Amino acid sequence: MPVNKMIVDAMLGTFRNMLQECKDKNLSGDNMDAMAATLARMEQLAVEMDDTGAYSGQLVQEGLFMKFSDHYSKVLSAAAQQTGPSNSGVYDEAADKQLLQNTLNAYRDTVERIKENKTEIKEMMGSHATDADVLFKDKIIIDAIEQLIALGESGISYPEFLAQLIEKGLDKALEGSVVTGESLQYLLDAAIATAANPFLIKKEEEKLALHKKLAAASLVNVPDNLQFQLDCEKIEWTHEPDIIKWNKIKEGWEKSLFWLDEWITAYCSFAPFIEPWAAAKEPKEAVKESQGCVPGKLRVWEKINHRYFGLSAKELFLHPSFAWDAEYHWIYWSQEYVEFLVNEVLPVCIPFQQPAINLIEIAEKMHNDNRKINPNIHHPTLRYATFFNSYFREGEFVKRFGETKKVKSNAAAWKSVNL
Amino acid sequence: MINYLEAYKQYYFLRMKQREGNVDYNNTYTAEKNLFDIISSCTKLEEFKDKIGNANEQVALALVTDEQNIRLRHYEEIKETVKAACCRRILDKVKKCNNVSEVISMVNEEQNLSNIEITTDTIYPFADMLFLENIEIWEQADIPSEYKERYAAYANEERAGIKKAYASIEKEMNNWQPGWKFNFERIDEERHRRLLPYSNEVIAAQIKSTQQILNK
Repeated sequence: MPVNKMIVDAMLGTFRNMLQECKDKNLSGDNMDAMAATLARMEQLAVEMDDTGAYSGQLVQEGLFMKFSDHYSKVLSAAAQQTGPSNSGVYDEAADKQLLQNTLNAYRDTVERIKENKTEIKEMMGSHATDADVLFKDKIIIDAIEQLIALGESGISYPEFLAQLIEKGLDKALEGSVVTGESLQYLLDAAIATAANPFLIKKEEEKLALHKKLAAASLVNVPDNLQFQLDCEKIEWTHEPDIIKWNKIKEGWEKSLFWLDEWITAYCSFAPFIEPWAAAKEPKEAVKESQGCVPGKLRVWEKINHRYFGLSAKELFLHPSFAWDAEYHWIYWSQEYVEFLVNEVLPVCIPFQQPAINLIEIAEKMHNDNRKINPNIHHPTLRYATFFNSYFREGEFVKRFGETKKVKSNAAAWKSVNL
Repeated sequence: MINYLEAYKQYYFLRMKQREGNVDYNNTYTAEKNLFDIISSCTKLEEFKDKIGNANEQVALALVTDEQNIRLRHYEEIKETVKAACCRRILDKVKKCNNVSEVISMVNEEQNLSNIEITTDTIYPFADMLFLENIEIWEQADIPSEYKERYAAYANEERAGIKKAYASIEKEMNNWQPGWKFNFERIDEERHRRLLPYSNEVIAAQIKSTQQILNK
């Protein structure tokens, strides 16, 4: 069975259009034939193979995308040479004007292509088409190109035009408009609103600062493209180990909290009647398993984390990732319940031991008083909605994703962590 | 009346000056200077056409050389050896290229190869310790005896999960590189090792456990 037609169309659509565009211009030659043969090979593989992953792997292994683009460049290059000045060896005003016109036409085509691409994107985005105006800063690049076209149309010669591109830095302005300060600010604002961890914010801050620094060093306020790209890569590289370690330690205290809650709640009288036990085939037996097995699992988990990071179960909660998640309302449980679990339940959660009656009573009361859940657990969504509305219009978040419901909880809001 | 020769001299002068004093673009500057020297020696624009030879193409080759050297230094500094290898191959091959068209094809080919190398340079699923952690929990937890058999079965399910995950990555990578096999030695290479926040002893033990499960 061939590879799914919709996937193949998405993968090969651009290449089919490129070949058709060359045919429409009546272009021919060896490279044109090679383009057609390369596309035919891609189409043939799509029919012969059935697995999408294997298909895209084969296309890359045979270098078919690369070969197609290579021949396409040569076809266009040959076509441009044919329309260039005659090979008479005379460089006169007519030849000069022709060269300038060819260059300006290429820029005009580019503007058209950018506009067409944006129109296509907007069509794909349907009712959210206006988002494209926020996310794709095509005006910046179009303005830069139109500035070049205006210069070319001002009556100057081709060499003067080329010289002015360098003198005014317009060639660099064109290069640097791919990544803009505005798009980096958007990513930083998104990272701050999400507040997943401090490194993700730091990364975006550093990229924006880098952009500003390199732009300030440039004649036209545009960073050197290659330097910006490599320095951004270095920023990612620097912070990646910290992010991985942060998340792994967070996993340590998250899983510990999960088991502490399971263990103490399993001793509450209502345990067989609430989730997760109520969903079991034999709820009472499931409760018994939680009571008997959780301490053993928790202590092996503690041993694993101690081996990894030299941290005891209690010390996992003293890691900055815990305070961070508390501050940004990522923790599902309320502060009083977490303090109860960590300070009072954790020390006695030991294999083959049971919690004291008073601890069970506290857990039951917190449950019955509805004080276990963080009352501000909806804050991350509100925070993100504020960011989203600031870019896509007031009220837009609710319109698209619905109203953010406040959780029903009688617990007090989280304050500074006290473990 | 425009003096085209003088206008072009000015243009090539500006191109040369752009790179002057920039040590990162030394080859480009030399090639640009050669081009400027050629046009400076002309008394008529027509002469330039006869004298230029492939000096213009040499600028493009020099620019590729300089940019790849910048990339190479960057990847060497951060010990990204797979990406650095691509730069070295381009730098080696660009010396043998005679024109821009050859350079473009060569760079595209090398980048295509590099993309495959980057994709297949993976230590997944080893980086995800979840399976091994679960096995340890199921097997080592102090639990009442009536649950031991069930927990041992859970541990075996995790073992099967590990085998499945390694078989799956091997199948996936073979789409990109036929004959690809998971390479445990790769784990200790700096670019992968720095992303595993554990001691050498922990890593060595995890490798041993995984190899035992996979019978490797």
